[in-house]
Amino acid sequence: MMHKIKEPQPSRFSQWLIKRIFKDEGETKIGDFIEIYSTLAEEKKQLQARLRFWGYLIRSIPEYFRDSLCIGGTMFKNYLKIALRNIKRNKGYSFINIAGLSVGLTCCILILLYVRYELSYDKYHENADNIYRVVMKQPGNVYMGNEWFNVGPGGLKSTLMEEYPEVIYSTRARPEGGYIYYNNNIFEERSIFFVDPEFFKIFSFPLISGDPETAVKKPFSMLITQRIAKKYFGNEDPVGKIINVEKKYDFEVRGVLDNCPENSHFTFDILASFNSLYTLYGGKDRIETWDSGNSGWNTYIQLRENFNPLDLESKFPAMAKKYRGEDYKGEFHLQSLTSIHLHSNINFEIEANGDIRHIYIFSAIAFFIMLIACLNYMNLATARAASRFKEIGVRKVIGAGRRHLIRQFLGESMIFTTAALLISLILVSLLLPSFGSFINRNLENNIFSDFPILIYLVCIALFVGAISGSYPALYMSALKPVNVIKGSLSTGSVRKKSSAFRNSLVVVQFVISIVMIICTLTVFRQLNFIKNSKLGFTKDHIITGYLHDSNLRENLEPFKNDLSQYPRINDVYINGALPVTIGSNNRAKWEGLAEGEKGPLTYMGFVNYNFLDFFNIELIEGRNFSKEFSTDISQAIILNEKAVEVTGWENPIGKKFRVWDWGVVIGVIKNFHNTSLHLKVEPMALHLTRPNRSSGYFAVKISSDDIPGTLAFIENKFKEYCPGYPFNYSFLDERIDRMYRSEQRLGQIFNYFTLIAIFISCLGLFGLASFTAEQRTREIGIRKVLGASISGILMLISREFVKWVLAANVIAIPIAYIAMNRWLQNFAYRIPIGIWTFVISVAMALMIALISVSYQSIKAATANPVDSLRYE
Amino acid sequence: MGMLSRTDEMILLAVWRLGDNAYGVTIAEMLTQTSGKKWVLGAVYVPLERLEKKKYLSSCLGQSTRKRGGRSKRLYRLTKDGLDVLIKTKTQEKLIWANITISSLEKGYDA
Repeated sequence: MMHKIKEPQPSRFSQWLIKRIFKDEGETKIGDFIEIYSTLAEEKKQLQARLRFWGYLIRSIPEYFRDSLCIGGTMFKNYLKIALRNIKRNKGYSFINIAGLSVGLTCCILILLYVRYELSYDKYHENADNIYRVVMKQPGNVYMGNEWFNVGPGGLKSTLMEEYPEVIYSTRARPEGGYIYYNNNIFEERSIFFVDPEFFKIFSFPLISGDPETAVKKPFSMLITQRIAKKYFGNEDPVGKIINVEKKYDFEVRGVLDNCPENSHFTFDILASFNSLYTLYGGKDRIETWDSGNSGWNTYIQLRENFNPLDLESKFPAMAKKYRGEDYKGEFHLQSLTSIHLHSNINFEIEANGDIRHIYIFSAIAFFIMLIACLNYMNLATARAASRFKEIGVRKVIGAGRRHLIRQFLGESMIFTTAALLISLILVSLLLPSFGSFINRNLENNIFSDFPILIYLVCIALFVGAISGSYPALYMSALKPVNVIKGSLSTGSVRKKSSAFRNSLVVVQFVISIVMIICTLTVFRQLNFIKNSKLGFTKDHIITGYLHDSNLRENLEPFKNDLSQYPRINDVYINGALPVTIGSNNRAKWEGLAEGEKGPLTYMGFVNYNFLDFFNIELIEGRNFSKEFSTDISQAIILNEKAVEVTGWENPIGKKFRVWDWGVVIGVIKNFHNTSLHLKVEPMALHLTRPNRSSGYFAVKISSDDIPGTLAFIENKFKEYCPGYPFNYSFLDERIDRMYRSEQRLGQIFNYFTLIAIFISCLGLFGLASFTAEQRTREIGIRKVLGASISGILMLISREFVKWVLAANVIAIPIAYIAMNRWLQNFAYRIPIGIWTFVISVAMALMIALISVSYQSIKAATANPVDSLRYE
Repeated sequence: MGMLSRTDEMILLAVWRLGDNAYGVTIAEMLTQTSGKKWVLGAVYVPLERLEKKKYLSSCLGQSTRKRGGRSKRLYRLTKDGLDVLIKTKTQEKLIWANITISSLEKGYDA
């Protein structure tokens, strides 16, 4: 087959543009332009030719329209002049409009940047669309509220590669943490990933030095990111250096990677060759297998271009049966790489992911705030129309058509939005760093150098201008010149119609604001409820940490005694689980349970003798663990109330119970929350930490004075017992707070945006009130002369607004109720949405409305009637 | 038959000069050469279409080349009216400029 040599062609966009601009029959004009481009391309390099061509095209366009522009230009000048004069003359209105629009645009832009960032996760890989993660669903094995797990057997990787031709590459990525020794320094690293050599075929992580083909092929080779290279080696060349992991294994640095982009669902600092794990985990055979105990491996695959992942997924049940036996219930599923960050929230995610619902919520907020700002503009512009009746009339008489007027008023709103856009760009660049840290994303790129974003923004601004200018333009251009010039008396019906429209705008604005007020209140009440609800154990003034060093584990008692000596340390708990780290579970069995029947999933915690005393967990039956009973260490079990409830035992003490190993129940404790309040309390069994199996948490109860001193003491002791290890600690209450971080962030964001929404609505109301007061100056004057009191007049003006705000409440309350009810479903323990929330928000909305109209109404009511009646 | 504007006159002449090869690109080039000012395509389309409407020019689709991305040319040709109006313009111009030279213009009076 012959291949045609392609002639160079101008970009598709410019071709499209040419087609749109020039009336082109038979495509002869585009042909002309392509010819021009070809001539340029013969002489110049492509880029230069492209630029030249654009220059040519841009010069062509105004020439083509020169005739029509000549007339348009003059009128445009006039419109601009009038618009600027109007802005200047009505400083108050202009300020309100521009302020409202620019605050709205600022919110919009910030949220746009956030949403864009969230959507960009993992999209930078060349093959992003063909990469999938293999995850498992284990029906019946509900853990932390769901039965999906980010795990897979170690043998999965080679099985997929070898038996399924549609899988081009597959790799595992096993996250590990550990201590790294180099040159007498110890570094704690949390993000070391052990990966197969195919990792670099699938993902596009650029190497600065080293060969991606071979870098992670040999056991004990490593790639480090630039950040780590700087941290460990300063300016030295890291390639070829040997670093030690956990004082046991020497790894050779074989290359340097660019820092991992932050918009990735996992970020690494170090990549190590996967086959090093063969040594670490006791042999290749123990990893490369489908044994059921060997399931903690993340597997990623790259599928053939355009291959439907569902086709591969449909082959998985057969694979599971083949390797795990006929009875195996676990299922394998594929998640596309780009969906992981926003759509996957399963057990054992490598890092906490984002949430698509937040994207929706944020986008909705941005939309509604912008809507409020647009409505403001519409409202004020139509209200102001009366004062421009004469101008419109004159224009019409002279010969302006409806089109010209529409163009003029749309143009005016464009001027407003352009001004607002400029202001909001400044605001955004000021706010972006703090907004970024607030939502925990690094958004600090310069939006002014980001061309597509700027295009979006201009589009948004134009759109906002068009929307907010549309109604005033249509409304004002529809007026009849005779009526308009005759004066406002004969335009009563028009006025009435337009005021009904304005009022409905106010209602919409307040519906949005009130919904947001109710949501904010509910979110805060729920968060408060969580903060104050009794978890069943003490969480205040407790420092927790993890004992890494195995040497220390042999010196636990001396360490504990040393700590206890310090006067400000009230109690020490060591070598056992913390209430919030009890997380593993299994199906329980107990005596009396029918053979073959399966008990409920039961949490299992290995704790130390003083666990109940230290955390003030209430024992309601039986006894605590005790050193006096030598059998306690091997077989004593303490159950929680829930566990007793599911067994149905009247007298649980002495009964046999099993989570992993059989034991005898010696006591029953009150339920406490080991998980966040999103989840229900489940049955739980406590064992003593076995001597050979240590679970290395420690906790120190301190008194509230001189906390820094106490911390310093603990750190010193820690350093004494585990020299060289960094002292990482956290307060227990902070640790618990972290479980609700995403809700707290949501709450704060709601808070700020609600304030902004209210602010913009108030601006509008304020403007409207001042307009009404101005319109009714004479009426008020006459009323006063006839004996109306100031309070009566205040009532008169406020009543109108209050009426509409109340109407807004009627609409807003059901909407907010439905929305918040759904949100609260996320929590197993939640507040009822009380009537008070609604009462408070109604009161708040009314108060805000009254305050914003009060200034104008008081001014109008207290004015001397002589002045107001004399005003013409 | 009315008077021609300067642009129309130049374009008609360019089409005449180009003979069988008068289309957008060549016309713009010819105008650039003869007027000493850069003419872009956008500037020739409107007058060309106007002159066609006035029946001074006629057009047909010509062949396409690879260089044009396979699009055909719109070839222009003077009509009888077009030729007449050019002749008329030239006659008129001769009359208007009769006996006037650049040096006489510089001297400032009718010599």
